[in-house]
Amino acid sequence: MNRCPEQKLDKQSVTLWRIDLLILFFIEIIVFGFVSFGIVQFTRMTWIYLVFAMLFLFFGWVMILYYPQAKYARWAYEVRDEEIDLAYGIWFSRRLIIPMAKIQHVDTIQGPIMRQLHVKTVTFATAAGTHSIPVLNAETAETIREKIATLARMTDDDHE
Amino acid sequence: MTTNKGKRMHIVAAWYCALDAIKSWIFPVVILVISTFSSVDHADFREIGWRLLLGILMVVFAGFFGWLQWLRFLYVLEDGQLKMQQGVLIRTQKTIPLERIQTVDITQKVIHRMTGTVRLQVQTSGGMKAEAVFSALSMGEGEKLRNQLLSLSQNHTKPENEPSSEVATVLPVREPQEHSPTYPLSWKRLLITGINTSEISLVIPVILGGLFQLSAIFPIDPFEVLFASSVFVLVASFILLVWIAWLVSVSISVLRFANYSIYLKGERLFIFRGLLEKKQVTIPLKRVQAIRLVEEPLWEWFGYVSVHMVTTGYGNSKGESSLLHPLLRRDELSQFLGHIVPAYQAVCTQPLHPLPSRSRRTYVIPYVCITLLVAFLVSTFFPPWGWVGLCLVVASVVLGLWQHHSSGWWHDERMLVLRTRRWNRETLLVPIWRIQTVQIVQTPWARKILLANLKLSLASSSLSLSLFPNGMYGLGFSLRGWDASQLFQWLAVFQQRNLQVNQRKKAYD
Repeated sequence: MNRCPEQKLDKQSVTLWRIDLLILFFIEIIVFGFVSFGIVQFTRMTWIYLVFAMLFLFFGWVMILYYPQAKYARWAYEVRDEEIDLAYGIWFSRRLIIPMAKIQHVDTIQGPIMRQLHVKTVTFATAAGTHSIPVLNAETAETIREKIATLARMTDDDHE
Repeated sequence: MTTNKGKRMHIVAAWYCALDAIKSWIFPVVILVISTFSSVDHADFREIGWRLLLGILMVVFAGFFGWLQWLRFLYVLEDGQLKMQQGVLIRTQKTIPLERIQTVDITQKVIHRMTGTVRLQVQTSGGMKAEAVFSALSMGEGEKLRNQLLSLSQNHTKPENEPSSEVATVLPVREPQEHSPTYPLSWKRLLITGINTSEISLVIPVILGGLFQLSAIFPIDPFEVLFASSVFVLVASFILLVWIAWLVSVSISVLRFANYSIYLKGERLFIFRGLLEKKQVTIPLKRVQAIRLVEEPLWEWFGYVSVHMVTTGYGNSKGESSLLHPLLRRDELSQFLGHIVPAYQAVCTQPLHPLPSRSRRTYVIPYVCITLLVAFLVSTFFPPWGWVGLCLVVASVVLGLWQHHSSGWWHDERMLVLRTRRWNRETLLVPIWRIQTVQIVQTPWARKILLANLKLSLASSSLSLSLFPNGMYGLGFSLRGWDASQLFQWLAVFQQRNLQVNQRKKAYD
């Protein structure tokens, strides 16, 4: 009975997460640049620049190179007739099961970068929060959305 | 279009409308008055007079505005719909289909009680905000309106297929008009609810703070006097302190739970409470998602339980609204649940499976890490107080072991029971079909020793207060350190059920 989910995300997810991280990285460089500039102004400790630069190089390198790959390797999903089964998480490995009968509505989302990569996010809402399959090929995402929409409409067991 | 005819509220409503108006204008008025008195040294009495006059005019205008609002508020029940129109400058018309009405609350504030009126509030299935508020209706009209709203909406929402078969067999069939035994809270019980470690431990620092303030006023230092005197005085004053704390705690619980009473009538729960402000709440049984039994350590010791519920659509940030009973003896619990929420009766007395002993470390290690850090910081920065840090470490180990010892679980094909402890022991009884999502979380360490955590989410509108990952508050409920294979067995039960629901619906279509 305990079948683990097997479907993988779209290969583009690694690229997408890397781009996201890169953007975040540049924002952080600007913010920390200002912060360290401020610190240097007050304390004259110029080595702060060096420390920040080293930290950024190291974490940026590790995060952008390895984190998206590790995330991709862990992510798996499966949409069955009766439930949605997700497995993800690098350190805390999570297995999330959402009964189809509990899904209230389902959406696909596509940002500007995602449009370039031809991928979409499928999100589904339950009465206790929203979950999503983050990166899917646009066509796959549409079929999955259609599938969940028909199945979710079919099952409603509120009278139990 | 709604009709122009309709009923008005009780005239007292004008008072409340005016009060609302004043509330929204209070800021400019207060600024006006303050600026008046701050400029009093200029002694321009004419100026002051003008400003006061302006303030008074505003109050008068608010009264007039409230009266207008009362005049313009019309409501009528027709064609199975509650139609209302209101507003002085911006007129709104609202239509609520009765079958969408879920709860109708009646409250009485002090002015309501003096004038024999009630406040009635209607909530529908979506959203947390009240859909319609009648700030004052005469007592008879309020009761009548409530009964009309509820009885009509009940007729519309009668579940036609597969009613809960177990409930029907366990309970004798009741006429919908006849209600279950009421469960009031006696005065003796009310005093016991005050014996509550969390409240007492909150009150004691307040009293001590007060003593410090006193020592600043009087020449003698009470603490110096105490520590200089005999052990007997010390113990006696400690007892006195606890007793005062208990009195304060009791008076808090009197304010909260006085006149508490609950019964089930038809498919709805009726809950009454309040000392000065009387409150009456009705909740459809269908909305109850799960039952939570909370045992404060002292209550647990004396064998008392408080019963809470997780509901959708109803409930605000205050804990009381989700309360089913403030205090019951453990042996009354089964009967109480049988009368009030019958589906939960069978499982409330189940002996639970304990957690495996190897999961002790998952309870102890996180606390020890934190307290060791604290102990380290304390002993480096305040060396004489180093022993306090050490005591903290020991206490955290004891707390972790206690939490592990108290936790447990039980399940069958229909229900899941989880028990955890942060400080209070909490037991969650949840029917499997009420679970919205299931999450199984494992760290690499936990996977190595075959442990896993379970996290459930339930539909609830109450705010999520999840400060600690194992706390059973708000939407998330979790139990750490299950034996992984047993947890996956339960997961299989859960998945089996999803499959059945799906097949049944397919056949139905």
